[in-house]
Amino acid sequence: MPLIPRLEAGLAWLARLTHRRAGLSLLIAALLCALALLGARRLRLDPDLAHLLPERFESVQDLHALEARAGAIGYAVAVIEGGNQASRRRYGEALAVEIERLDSIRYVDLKRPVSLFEDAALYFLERADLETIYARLKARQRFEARRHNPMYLDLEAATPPSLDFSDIEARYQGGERGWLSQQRAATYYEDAQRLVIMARPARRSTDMGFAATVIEDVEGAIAAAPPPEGLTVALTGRYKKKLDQKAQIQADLGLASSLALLLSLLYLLFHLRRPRAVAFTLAPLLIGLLWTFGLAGALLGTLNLLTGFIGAILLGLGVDHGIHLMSRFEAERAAGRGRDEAITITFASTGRAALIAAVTTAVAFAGLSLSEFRAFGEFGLLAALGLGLVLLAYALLLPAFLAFDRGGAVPQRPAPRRAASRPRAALWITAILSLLALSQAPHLRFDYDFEALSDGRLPAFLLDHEVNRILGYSQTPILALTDSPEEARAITAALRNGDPGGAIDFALTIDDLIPKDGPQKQAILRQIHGVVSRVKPSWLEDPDLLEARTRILRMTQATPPTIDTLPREILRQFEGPDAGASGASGRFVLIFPKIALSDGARVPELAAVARRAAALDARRVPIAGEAMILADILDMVIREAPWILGGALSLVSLALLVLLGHPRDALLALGAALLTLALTLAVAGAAGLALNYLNIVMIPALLGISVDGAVHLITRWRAGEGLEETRHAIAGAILTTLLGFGALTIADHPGLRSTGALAALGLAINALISLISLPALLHFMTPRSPHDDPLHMLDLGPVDAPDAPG
Amino acid sequence: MMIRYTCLILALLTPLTLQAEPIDAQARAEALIAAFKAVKAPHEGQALSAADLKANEAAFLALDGFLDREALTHAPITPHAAHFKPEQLSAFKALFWQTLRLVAYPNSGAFFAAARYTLTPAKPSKEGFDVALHAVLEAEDLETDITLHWSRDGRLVDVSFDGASLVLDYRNQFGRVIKDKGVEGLIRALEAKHAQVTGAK
Repeated sequence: MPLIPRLEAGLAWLARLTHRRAGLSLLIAALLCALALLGARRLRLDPDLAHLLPERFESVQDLHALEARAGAIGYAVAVIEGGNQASRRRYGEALAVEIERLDSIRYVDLKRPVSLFEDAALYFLERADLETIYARLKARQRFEARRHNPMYLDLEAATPPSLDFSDIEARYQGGERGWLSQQRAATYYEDAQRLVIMARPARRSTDMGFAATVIEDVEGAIAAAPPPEGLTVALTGRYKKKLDQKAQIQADLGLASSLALLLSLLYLLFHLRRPRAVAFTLAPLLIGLLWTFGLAGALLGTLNLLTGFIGAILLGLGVDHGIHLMSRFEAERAAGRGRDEAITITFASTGRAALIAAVTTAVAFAGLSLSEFRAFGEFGLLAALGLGLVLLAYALLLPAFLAFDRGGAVPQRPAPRRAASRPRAALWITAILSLLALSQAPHLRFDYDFEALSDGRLPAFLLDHEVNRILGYSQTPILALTDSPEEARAITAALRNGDPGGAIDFALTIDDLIPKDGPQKQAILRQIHGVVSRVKPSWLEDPDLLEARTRILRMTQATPPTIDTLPREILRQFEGPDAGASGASGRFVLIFPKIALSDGARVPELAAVARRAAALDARRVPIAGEAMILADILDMVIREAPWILGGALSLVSLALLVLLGHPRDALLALGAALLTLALTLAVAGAAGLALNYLNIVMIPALLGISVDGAVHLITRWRAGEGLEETRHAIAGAILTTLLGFGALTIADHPGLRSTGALAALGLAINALISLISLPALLHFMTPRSPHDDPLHMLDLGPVDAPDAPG
Repeated sequence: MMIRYTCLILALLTPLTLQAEPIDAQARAEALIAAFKAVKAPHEGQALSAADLKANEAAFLALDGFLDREALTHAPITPHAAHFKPEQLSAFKALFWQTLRLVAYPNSGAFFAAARYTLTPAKPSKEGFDVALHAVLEAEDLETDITLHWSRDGRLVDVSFDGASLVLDYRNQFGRVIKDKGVEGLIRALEAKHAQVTGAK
């Protein structure tokens, strides 16, 4: 027996069975629901970008290595605003004490370790610059000495030698020298409006639970030491950003899912016009979703940025089957058929089309599941499994529910005449619009901004930028986990010499804080001290100059810093909590990028420079940081995209060929999907809707979704049945899918919003192709003479009536 | 009158002192300072009286006996001598000496009159002997270390202020002016200075 008739017979048998054994079907479904609930309860939302990559990736392994050595990464940051500087400092001191008491906090940084950078600052100048300073001071001293020499005749009326050192200062503005300058810019981490408290968590964990604990603890400390009148405290930093992002996604998820459900419900009421029919359509869908979440809990345990929305998306995709099946059932009932016969016909014919549509969509998603990028892979897996489970729920439960349907069918609406009543015009318009749209395809661009993955406009993210500005450097630089000072020096040298594009701002090792040529510099400083000490305080009327003299005298008497005299506040930025006093377990190289991490186009360059530098002869030094994760994500998305699209295309083509059973039919369905995809990308380009790391997932997804309408049309057309009821159902199905994906457009998260927008655009274009262009094409493909084709009974309904054969 | 005679006696005694071997450089330094102090300086905005001018003649004469004119005028200009015509060079040296006397003697006199100073014992040097003294000008909150460089025959050949040699400073200054304005420029600058000093007097 050929596949198609066997499929039809099998579906019809299953539908009859579940209809007759409705109670058993519902019991089985209930048991499955109970199991699914157990799995679904395990599900957690995890928006961490690092968790989107497979464990085998260098960036992920390096991150684990960093966590093992550095303990917690990043800070919980409290920012005090309002009031005046004194009140902020006063409260900051009190709050820092409260926060430092917390078990979840290892230490708190409120003030810069200025003593080192104040007193020993001159040691961080190059020896040549110190000599220049001494020479200028000496020249001025000699000038003054001549001026006071009673035996000297000044024949020049010379101006005093300049004591302007701005040229030397300018050389210490950027890079690691700038970092050093920044350390003595102010005692507190503050600017004119804010004071920053940086709390380093105590444990080596980066999961959401720990992030929540840290933030809750810090909030508790703030509650225990509330800010006085006029001051406010806002939290930011790595942990707060994670929580806020999760909260944003959860809020988006709740809103989008609720909206998708509400709109689908409204549409079903409009489409089916019977509350009971709506309930029968929605119930299997919701049960199928519950099974999907149960399976997701058992298989994955977490939902990521994209799979978090699988509910809304499956709602839109899955309800299609319900609409098609219920519409057909209602149509058969309206045509006077009994319930059993209507169920048999519905599941044999429309059920087959639904199965083909579901399989083609599912294989497209299954292609995605091959992606190593977990956002895509898990989305593809859950979407494919979900579609199967939703269809299973319909097959198991819809006939069972229909056993309880005591109401009569609502009379079918007369089919309105539509554009396809002029099939030639419809095809011409399709061709012209397609050409116009495709001419815009070159405008399509890929947006490399990583904001698609995390919303940089969230308050905690914006505040974090401000904190970085106040600090003068990133709170979370890239870290090279070196094992020895030699490794650190080798990497730093490689970074300084191997960055032609200027992706790295500067790299800092503990060595950079131990001035070179200390004894020689000390000798020069002693000479400077000798010159400056001859300047009497009484000569200096300007209080600033007087203070500068005192400071310089102190600085020129300082001894050169050594590793043993470095303040703990500085040292701990270069080592983990377990490093011994000697730093035997190795210290880090801090690598500060020059480029913004949102600049996805240049992040791979940054990562490549860092990785090249870390590839030492003896071993590869782990390099960990957000930039490395982002670079791997970008690399993976770009590398996988052609394979995933090619895989999805091949799988959909194969599924169509096998399930439709006719190469021409498969080609027609595939053509409709490919045209949908091409026009979607072209119109997106014209509309300025760029592709990004998230919405690119819609390309294979649209391929799978777009064949659905064509499959239903071609199945009915092949069967020689009228297309009007199918077109009505297709319109409803696409609309509900659009509602599912379109709900994402109200998300706050920019990546999800753009995914929803691209999906909505694709589905709208697919609706035009499925409802107007393809029926028009099928009209011309219909044989004119009953003797030409066994489909002489084809009835295109009122739309095609004038030309319809037979 | 008393000061005038003192200076005159000091000047007359100078050659006798030079005959002694070795010279007492510290005593010479003290005598030099005393000679400087004998020079009358006008009060601000006022001219010297005729008596003071007369006294200064003797004081200047006495001081001339301490200073090695040739060393002080020749050494600073020698490296630049090639830029001068012979007659220019001798005229320049003469004018420089005159101007130096007119400026250095009263200024030094005023300086030592206002300063508190301590002398250290003489140390032998390449040229002869160095006598260091630490001077404090309390009115200006100024401390300075002066070294008087004596030749073996007891003439002052250079003075260092805070380590900066007067001869070297003049040499550098002459070099800079010649480089910027030429020899004529240097001569004009010296003439202007001389006119300014004598005009003030």
